[in-house]
Amino acid sequence: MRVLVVEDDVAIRRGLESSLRDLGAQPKAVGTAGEAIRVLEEFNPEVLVVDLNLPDGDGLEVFRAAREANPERDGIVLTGQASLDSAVEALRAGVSDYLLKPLRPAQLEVVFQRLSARRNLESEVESLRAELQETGKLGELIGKSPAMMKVFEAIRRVAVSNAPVLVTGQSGTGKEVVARTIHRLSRRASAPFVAFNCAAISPTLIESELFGHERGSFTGADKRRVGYFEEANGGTLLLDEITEMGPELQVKLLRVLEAKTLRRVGGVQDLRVDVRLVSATNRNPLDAIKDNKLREDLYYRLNVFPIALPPLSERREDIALLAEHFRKQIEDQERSGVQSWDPAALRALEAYPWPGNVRELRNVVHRAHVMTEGDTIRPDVLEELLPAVAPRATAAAGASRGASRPTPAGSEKKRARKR
Amino acid sequence: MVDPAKSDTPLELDLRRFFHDLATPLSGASLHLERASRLIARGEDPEEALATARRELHRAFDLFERGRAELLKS
Repeated sequence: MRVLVVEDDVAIRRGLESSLRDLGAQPKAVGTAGEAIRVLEEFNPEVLVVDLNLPDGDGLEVFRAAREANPERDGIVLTGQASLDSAVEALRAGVSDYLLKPLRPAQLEVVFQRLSARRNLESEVESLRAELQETGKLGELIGKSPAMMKVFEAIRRVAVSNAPVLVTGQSGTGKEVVARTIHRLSRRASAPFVAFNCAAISPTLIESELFGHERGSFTGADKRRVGYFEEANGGTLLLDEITEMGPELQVKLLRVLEAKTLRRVGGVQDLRVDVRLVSATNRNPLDAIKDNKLREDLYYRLNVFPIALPPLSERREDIALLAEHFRKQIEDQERSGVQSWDPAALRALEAYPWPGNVRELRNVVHRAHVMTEGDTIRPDVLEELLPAVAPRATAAAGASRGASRPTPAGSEKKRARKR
Repeated sequence: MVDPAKSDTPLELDLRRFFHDLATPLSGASLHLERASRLIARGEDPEEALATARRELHRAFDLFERGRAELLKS
């Protein structure tokens, strides 16, 4: 990050230059407002660190001029006199932070790193937004359908907060991908993302997996183990299949969410944790409450911000986009020269009901890619892969094309058998 | 809200100036002491950073003594 330091005192100027360099910035330091204005265009700083009182002018004017040329620039103001007016004026001019002299290097470090993290996050969000507009992608999520646009908007809104998120949707709709995207767009992006499937672990082990255990707390606990909550500290924890967690453990989870502390199994000490929780389920959470699979009080804790993922059958306009995305991804790995889709093959995919959703589509594309000879995925390959409904799908594809292409005798037989 | 600087008495103004002047060499000293620590941690020569910190501290003491004398006189 290019940082222009504008400070008339030579010792402070050189000290700031050296500190900023060691913090990973590319600093340039000047002593007057006039010099600062002269180097603005050539050095093109992303951040300015300006003393308010310069021998030939006002530091804030330098910042204003820099901002006028490029509104993306950030500023940190240095001053030896704390006054409310100057602080308000600086904030109105758009500076991000205010450092009082005498400067403490630790304060400078905190302010600079906070600014740097914010700028990185903004640039990540910006590049994802541009990517979304161009290609219908938000992180690993793909779609241009109105239903997915709503999901993308919800993700962008919730990512910047710390609110717990409950993602619902059928199996294979991409609930974990949503959780990862929320993490990637959040201020926690540089901290860990940990995913835990409550259905994949025996109920007796979930507690120690989630909260950790102390040595000797149960048979086989031969050493202390940090749980997933602690592993995700500072970051995001996804609890998938949340309704599969036993009721006793749901009470403990509720307590952790309320107190923001946990106790390892066999432990005596409460440990503070800072984790953003995303939970997910393929069940209707209200049905799960009725069936005593989900505690109502926990549901309200988890469901601060709900995101409902549509099944693939409700966003058919995204199928071709997704199929092409997966084809490219698979071709990058396999390098077998499969470069395109026969339009009828894409229409066949669009006509299929996709009970397994995006996950099933990806698997079908992978298998079609492997089975394709030549550079184009053709509909006959899909007939093998989309059982039962494939004939209808491929027939629909042919009909919508208005073609009277003769059907190969062999494939007719297959259809008859499948029916 | 009222900015305190606007309703300062002459003594308060002198005090503000005194603290402002003193804050400058103190900032220089702290930044260069920190720089010296980083240089030592990297196995580099801290002499020049220490000399600057010493000079800035000297300046701070000098300003402090002069300021104290002036303020006590008033």
